[in-house]
Amino acid sequence: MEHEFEDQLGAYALGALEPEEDRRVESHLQSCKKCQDIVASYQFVSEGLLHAADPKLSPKSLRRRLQRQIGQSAETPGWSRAFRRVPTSAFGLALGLIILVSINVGILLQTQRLLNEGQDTVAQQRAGQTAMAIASYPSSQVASIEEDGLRGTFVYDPDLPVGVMYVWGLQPPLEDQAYQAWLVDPQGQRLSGGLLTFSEDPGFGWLLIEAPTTMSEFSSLGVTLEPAGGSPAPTGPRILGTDL
Amino acid sequence: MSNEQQPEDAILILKVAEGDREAFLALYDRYSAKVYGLALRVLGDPMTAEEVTQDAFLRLWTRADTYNPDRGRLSSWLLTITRRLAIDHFRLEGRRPPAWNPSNPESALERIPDPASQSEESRWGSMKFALINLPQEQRSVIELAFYHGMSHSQIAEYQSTPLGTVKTRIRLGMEKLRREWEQEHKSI
Repeated sequence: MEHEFEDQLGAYALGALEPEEDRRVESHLQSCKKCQDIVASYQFVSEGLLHAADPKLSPKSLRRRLQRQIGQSAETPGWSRAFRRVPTSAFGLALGLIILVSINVGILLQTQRLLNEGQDTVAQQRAGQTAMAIASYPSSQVASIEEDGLRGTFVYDPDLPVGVMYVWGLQPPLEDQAYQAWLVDPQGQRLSGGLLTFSEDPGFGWLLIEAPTTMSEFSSLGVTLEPAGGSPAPTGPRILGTDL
Repeated sequence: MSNEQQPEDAILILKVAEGDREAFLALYDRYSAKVYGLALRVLGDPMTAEEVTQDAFLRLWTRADTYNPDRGRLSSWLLTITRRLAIDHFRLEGRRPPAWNPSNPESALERIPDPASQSEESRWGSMKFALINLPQEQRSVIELAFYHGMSHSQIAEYQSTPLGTVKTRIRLGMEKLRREWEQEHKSI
């Protein structure tokens, strides 16, 4: 009988036994010192197998992403922390995609209305499609925006030069004003990302940002209130911002 | 615990448990290739392997305080987390094992441990070499069990092989690996 258990110990250490067999071996191990010693030696084999896979260089963007995630996890409590970490797991990515789909449904509904009003819908559709396309990239990111009643997202991929921003809760700018986005590099240099398209009814603004370099070159994103037509450098009050 | 890096690992993980991001990144730089390599070995898909690597290191970050150095090396703890996460993905997504692609024997030969070496990497290299040297039918069942979390009966079904044959191959293969390991251990 004991021999029967000895024959199963290698498979036990590998985790290859069926549940019932596994329970029987574990029960036997409670009282058999010899088999305990054998299992211990098999566990060294299992440990060796863990290390036997060939090391492979992981994508560079992963380190940056982790660096950002651990920074956010330590700084931001509550639900917003969970929201910021949306892309960190399959669940998070799924949730992020659901949010994006919801956003796009909203965009499509709004697009219909804008079509009726004869406004520019092509650009907005393009932004939504761009956001969806970016989200399909493995290293896509969703940076959350939360500031003084404003909420939104910036969908981007660090390895691509494009990103799409959506913001809710914006106050309507005066006729001679506009919301302007700025990409900020690690040295603090500001590069205009363009003017947000503003929809007055829900306080909703969006912008497709096309940068000259990949988003990985920038450390944060901000929005200021500027004169209509935009400014070469920020002059107005900072409305919101998020780290990239 | 002859690993020269072990004390430094122990210090770094304590710092990580206190929220030290630089310590975390130092461990990432040290072990990310092993973690990603193992995830890729299990899943065969770079995108999912990257996700598993990310989740494994986030667990390192959030659960560093649960690591107990008396129960083993930090690298093995991290790789155990990685293996479990990867196998969970493998099962959840109903994946089939990647096409049989044994480690490159030449690359393994390049890493045959120097008998005079006592480094941890040389020990793991010897295990890889022993695995590659197994008869293919024994190696394949061990790899399916360990890297893909398949049970005896699942392997038998997957390989269209009698269950008894699978059990015998696992037993013989594991006994050989154990003997190799013990000999290596004694020679050090």
